[in-house]
Amino acid sequence: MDEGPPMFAPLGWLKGPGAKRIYRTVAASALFDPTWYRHTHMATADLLRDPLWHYLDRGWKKGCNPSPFFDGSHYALANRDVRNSGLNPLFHYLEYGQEERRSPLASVLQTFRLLVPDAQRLRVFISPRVGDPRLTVVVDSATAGRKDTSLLALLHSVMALAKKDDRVVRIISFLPSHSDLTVVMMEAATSASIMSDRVECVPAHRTDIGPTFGIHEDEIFLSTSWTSARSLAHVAPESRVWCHAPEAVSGSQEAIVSQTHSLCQTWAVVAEAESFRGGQPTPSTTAWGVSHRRVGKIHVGVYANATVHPMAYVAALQFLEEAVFRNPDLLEKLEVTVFGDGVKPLAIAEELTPHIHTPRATQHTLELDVVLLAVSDDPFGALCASHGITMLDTVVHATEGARTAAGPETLVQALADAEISRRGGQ
Amino acid sequence: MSSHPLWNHSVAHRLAMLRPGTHRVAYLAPKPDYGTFRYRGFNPTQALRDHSTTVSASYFFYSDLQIIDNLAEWADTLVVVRAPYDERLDAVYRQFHNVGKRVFFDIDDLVFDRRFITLVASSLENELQEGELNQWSAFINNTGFALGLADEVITTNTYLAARISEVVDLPVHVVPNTFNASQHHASEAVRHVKKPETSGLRVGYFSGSHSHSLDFDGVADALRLYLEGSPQSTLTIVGHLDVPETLQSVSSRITRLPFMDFLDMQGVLAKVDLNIVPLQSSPFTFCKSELKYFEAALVHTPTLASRTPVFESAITEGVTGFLADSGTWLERLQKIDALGSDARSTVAASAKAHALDTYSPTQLAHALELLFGEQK
Repeated sequence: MDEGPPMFAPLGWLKGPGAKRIYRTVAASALFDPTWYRHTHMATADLLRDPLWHYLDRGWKKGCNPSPFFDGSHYALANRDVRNSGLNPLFHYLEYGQEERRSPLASVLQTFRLLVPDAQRLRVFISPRVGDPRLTVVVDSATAGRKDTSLLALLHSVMALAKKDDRVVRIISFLPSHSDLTVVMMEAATSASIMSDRVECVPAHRTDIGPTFGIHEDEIFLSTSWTSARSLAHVAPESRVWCHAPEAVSGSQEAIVSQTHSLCQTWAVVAEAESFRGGQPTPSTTAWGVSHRRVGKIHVGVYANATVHPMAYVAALQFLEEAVFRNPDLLEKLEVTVFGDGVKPLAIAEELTPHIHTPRATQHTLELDVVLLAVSDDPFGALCASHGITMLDTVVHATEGARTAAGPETLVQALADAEISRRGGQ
Repeated sequence: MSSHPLWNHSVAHRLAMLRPGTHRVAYLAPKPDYGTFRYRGFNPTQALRDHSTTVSASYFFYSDLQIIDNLAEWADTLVVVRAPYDERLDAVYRQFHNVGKRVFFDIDDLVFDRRFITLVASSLENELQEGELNQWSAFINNTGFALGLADEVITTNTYLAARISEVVDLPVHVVPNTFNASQHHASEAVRHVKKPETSGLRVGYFSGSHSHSLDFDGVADALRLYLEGSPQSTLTIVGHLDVPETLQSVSSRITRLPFMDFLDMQGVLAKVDLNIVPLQSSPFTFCKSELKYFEAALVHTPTLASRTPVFESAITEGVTGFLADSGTWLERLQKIDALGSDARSTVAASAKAHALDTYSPTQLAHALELLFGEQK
C-alpha cells in the first residue's frame, strides 16, 4: 500500500478525523509547494518540521498560503460555506471547489506579486531634504543577472551620473548579500572619485512588510532591471524615474532613458527567463480529459510552459484579465483553457478560472478561436493560420515575422473579431 | 453590516462603469459600509451612471487594489471617501499625482480636525480610555493628513466647509447627501401604507449608531412627559440605542426594532406620524447632514429636528417640517399633535416635494457634472 510522502507529524494529530486523507490529498497537489512554504512561512526553529504538517496544523489558521497559486484567505472570504465548514481551504478546493470552478486566487496580479517580490512597490514616504540632492538606484536579483553589463560597470555609471549633478547616492538593494554589494559599491565610488560618505547602501528585505524609505521631492530614481522599474514606477512622475536600458547592449556605452510603461513591459519579457526565482514548478495534477467546447462561447487557448517561461504565462493571463476589465461581458462569454506544463489555475478578474489541460493536441487547437502563445515554439502556428485562428504571442514583445505580439489591445481586438466571426457562423 | 446587493459588483463590472469618452471618476473607500460610503461613494456613482452622459464614475475599495495595478490608468479623477492616510492611500495618491491627475477628498464629518479630538470623543456615550483615545487621535490626525494631501475637498454642508477652510488652503465644494434610486423605489413601494386614524402621535426615532445616545438623552424627559399626557401616542425606536431609565414609566408604549437595512427602514418610517431627530448642540452634531429629514419625507412622514444650522437651512418651519430648540421639545410635540393628521399630511407633502426637488440623484448628478466638468 502506498503510504504517501514521508510524515513527521505527531501520531496523535494523525488520529483526527480524516487527517490522513487531508494530508495525502494536499501532499499530492501541485498547489502545495513545500520549498516555497518553508522559505516563506517557517521560522528558523521550525525548519526541521514537515512543512505540510506545519501548514495543516497551524499555518492555514494563521493565514499562511500553501504556494503562490492558492490564497486561502481569499478563498475562505469568497466562499461562506468554506468559512462555516471550518475545513482547510486548500483541502476544500481540491475536493470540491476545483470541480465547481471556484477561484483559488483573487487575481493574476496577486500571484505575480508573490512570484516576483522584487517587482512589488517600494514603500515610500515624502520627507524634507537636508543637505545635497540625492540619486537613488534600486538593484535586485534581475540586475545581478543581467548579461549586458556587470554590477560594477552599472554602479560606476550611476556614480558618474551622480557626480556630474553633485548628488549623493543611495543604493536600495534586494540582493541577498549586503557585504558583497558594499564592496562593489565602494569600488565603483573610488573609480568615479566619489567620497565614501556620499554613498550609502540600504537593504530592502523581501518580506510582506518591507522597510519604508523616505524620498525627497527633487530626488532622481534609477532602475536597473524590469523588476526594479516596476517597484519604482509609483514613486515619482515618469520624468524623474530613469532606466538603465538593456537596448544599450549593442551601443558603446550604457544608455539611460526615461522610464515608460512600455519599456517596463519590454523588460518583463526580456528578463523573465532569468529572473524567475520561484520554487521549481511541478506539472499540474489537474488534467481535464474531455473537450470543454461549449456552443456560444469564445474559446481562448493559452499555450504555456510555466517551467521555462513562467512570466510569459502570467503575462498571458494578465492580458486576458485586462481584456475582461475593459469588457466585463466577456466573463460570460470567455472559455479559457490552459495547455502546457507546470501551469496552475490562476484566477482571471476574481471570477474566471481557466480549465487546465495537458498536453495540447491538434484537435484542441482546432476548437479554439484565439490562441495566446506563452512558449517560444509554435508548432501549431501553421495550423492556426490555415484555420483562421488568431495567434498572439506573449514571448515576443514586437511583431516578428509571423508572430504577433500579444497585448491588451491586440487581445481585445482578437476577441471582438472572434465574437463577430462566431455570430456569423451561427 | 457592510455588504449589500447594491454594491457587490465585480471589479470587472466596476471598471467598465468608467466609460471611455467621459470624464471618469473613481471613488475609493477603505471598505463598504451603510453610512459614509453609501452616501458619499455609492450614491454619486449611481447618480452619474443614470443621469450623466459626460461624467462616469465607479466605486472601489482597498481590497480591489490587490487586483487593479494602477487605478490612475482607468480614471481621470480620484475621490477618496473619508480615509486615514496609510500606505495604500499613499500609493494611490502617487498613481494619480504622478500623471498629473487630481485627487479630491470627500469628508462628511469633523474627524479630520485635531482641534475637535476630545469633543468628538466626548460625544460618544462611554468615556474613552487612554489607549482608545490614542487610537482615535491617530485616526483623526491621519484623516486630516490625507485631506491635506488632496488637491480639492468635497463636503456635505457649509458649516463643515468653513471648518475645512480653517485647516487647509484648498478649494472646498459642498455636495449634500442625497437619496439613491433604490431608496426612492423602496419608498414608492410603501407610499400607499395608510397611517391608521388614531388620536395621538406615533413618534419614530431612527438611530444610526451608539453615538446618538446622548442626542436622545436630551429629549427623553420631553418624550416621557408627552407620552404620559397623550395616552394614545407611541414611540418606535429603531437601531442602536440604550433607552434611558426616564422612559421606564411609558415603556409599554415603546416598540424596539433592531438596526435594519436602509431599504427596509423606509417601510417603518412610512408607518410613523412624526420622525424625530434630536441633536445636541455642538460642532460635532452641526456637521450631521439632513439625510434623516429627506429620507422620512420620501415616505410622506414629517420630521421634527433640533435647530442646527443644517436643519434650519433644510426645513422651513411649519411648511416642510418642524424645528425645536432645546427645552421646547415637549411644547413642539404637543403642538404637532394638535395640528391634526390633515395638517401634518400637508407638511409631509411639501417635504416630499422639497426632497424630490433638492436631494434627488438627478440633482446630485448635476452638481457632480459641474464639479468634475471643470476638471477637463
